[in-house]
Amino acid sequence: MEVPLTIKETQEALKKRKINCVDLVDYYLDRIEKNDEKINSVLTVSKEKAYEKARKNDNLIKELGDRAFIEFPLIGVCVIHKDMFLTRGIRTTAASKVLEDYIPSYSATVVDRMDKAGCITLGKANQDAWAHGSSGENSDFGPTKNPWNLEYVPGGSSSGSAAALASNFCLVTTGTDTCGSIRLPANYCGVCGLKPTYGLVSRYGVIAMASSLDSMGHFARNVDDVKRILEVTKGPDGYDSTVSSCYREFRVKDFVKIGVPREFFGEGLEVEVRRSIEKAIETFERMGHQVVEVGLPHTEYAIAAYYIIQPAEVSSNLARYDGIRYGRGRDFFGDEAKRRIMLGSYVLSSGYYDAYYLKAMKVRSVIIKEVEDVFEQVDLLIAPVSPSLPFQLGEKTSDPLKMYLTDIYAATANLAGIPSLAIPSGFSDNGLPLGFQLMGPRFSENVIFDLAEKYHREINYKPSIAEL
Amino acid sequence: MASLTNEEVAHVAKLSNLKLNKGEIAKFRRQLASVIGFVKKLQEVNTENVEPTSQTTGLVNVMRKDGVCPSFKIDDVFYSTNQRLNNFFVIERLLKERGKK
Repeated sequence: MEVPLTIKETQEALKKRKINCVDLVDYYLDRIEKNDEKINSVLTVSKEKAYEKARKNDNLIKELGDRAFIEFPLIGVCVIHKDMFLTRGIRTTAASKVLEDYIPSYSATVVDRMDKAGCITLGKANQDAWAHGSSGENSDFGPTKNPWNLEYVPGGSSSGSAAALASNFCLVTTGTDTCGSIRLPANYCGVCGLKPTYGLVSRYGVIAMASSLDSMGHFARNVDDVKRILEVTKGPDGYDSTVSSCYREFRVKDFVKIGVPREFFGEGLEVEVRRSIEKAIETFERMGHQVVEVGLPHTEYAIAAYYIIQPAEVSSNLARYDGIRYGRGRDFFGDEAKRRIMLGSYVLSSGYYDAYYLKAMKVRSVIIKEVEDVFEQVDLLIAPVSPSLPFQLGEKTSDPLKMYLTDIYAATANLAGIPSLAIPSGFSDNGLPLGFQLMGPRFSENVIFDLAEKYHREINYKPSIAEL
Repeated sequence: MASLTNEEVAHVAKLSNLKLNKGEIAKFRRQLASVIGFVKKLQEVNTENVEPTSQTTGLVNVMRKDGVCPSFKIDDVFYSTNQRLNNFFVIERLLKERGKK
């Protein structure tokens, strides 16, 4: 049996009774069991709950017919959640030994809304512990491998989410993006990954990393699926006061003006990545869009500002893990969490606060102003997600700073709170995924989706999955 | 690379409520110094008359109606601990009797 690769096709197959939800769960769980030993993308499989929900969905489809697909827009969609998302009754670890046995008594808003929209949760995805990392190698439960080539990293921190999707272990996955943690693994695994505007999707029930930067997003195989999930997850829930329903909707235009920030294409960008994006730019021009060069001169400071603000917030958020109310004690933190907690304590400590933390918050203002000015000139920005193609396992693990610089092109979107969508564009000469990110002003998701969909139509993009 | 002493590392470890052994202190000293050295480049940016940004939503003092609504059941709150006594969490003693070390 083969299963469809998109929500639309899956739901069409369900409508026509070519397949039912129990078949889908059978297929995915069998595939996970046979293949995940190689990939290590799934930490927990919630088999019983998955079948229970699948049977419930099949009954709904029987009873309501086509109406089931209107009332439950994600009915039959099998999801694996990043292990940062609390799932009621299903173990949630953040890939850390601290939470190895933690079973939450409530679900994150994202999980809850997807459940209510008909999603079937198959399990929880591996990740860098506490979402600290760019390669997936920081998991306390072993690294995740890139399904396109097992010697390479899948990108992190939502490593398992991207790898599981590329392996066809499910139809969609969720992720969190504090500095590229959705876009980088999406880029390295050849799937679409959305980091929404900060304040569009509730962070309630998601293990906090850096609260002013954390964005709750998801992975899917095409832009249409990304849109369908966001329709369900976005909007206020009463539990996260940064989520707003009052924002200006952007008008979608036939042709847009795309900015190419020259600072994202400087030294250090791998030739093959650069060429692939130049090709995409040519495609956009051929389609009739206007492409202009723009400047974001403070881009080089974004990752430095990020590595002060983020650890500062991490040190505060991880202070709650005391092993009393849940989880184990602080001795169970891995090295990367310890590094970030201490770095945060350092930049916040007496005598250093002004020089580091306050300075970083001011540089953040400078970067935001610059981004806002650029969006006065252009509708969207195109940029690489990472300076390089996927790198090999172990290549950067001994040098934390080198690993941190993997996210040099990701920081801008998080610091400015703007949306960014990473989409695949093809494959490199040695068969590794290529792609780019499209960024827009706050709450411009619909403009980004429109352009990304047109681009995929133009290059006749078809979702593909890795051979395992 | 910025310089960082073992004492400074031990101090931030204490602030962070983390216990480190000597080997870890030496390892983290090198790694933290290299990151701190890198982030120092922010000093190059002119931020005179720039206000700091702590969040990007522009929202200020978001209010909600103060009302009674359902919350967690007691058993749900204690679901993940074995440190429970009469619906309290048992914690380590913080205050010591005078004169005792």
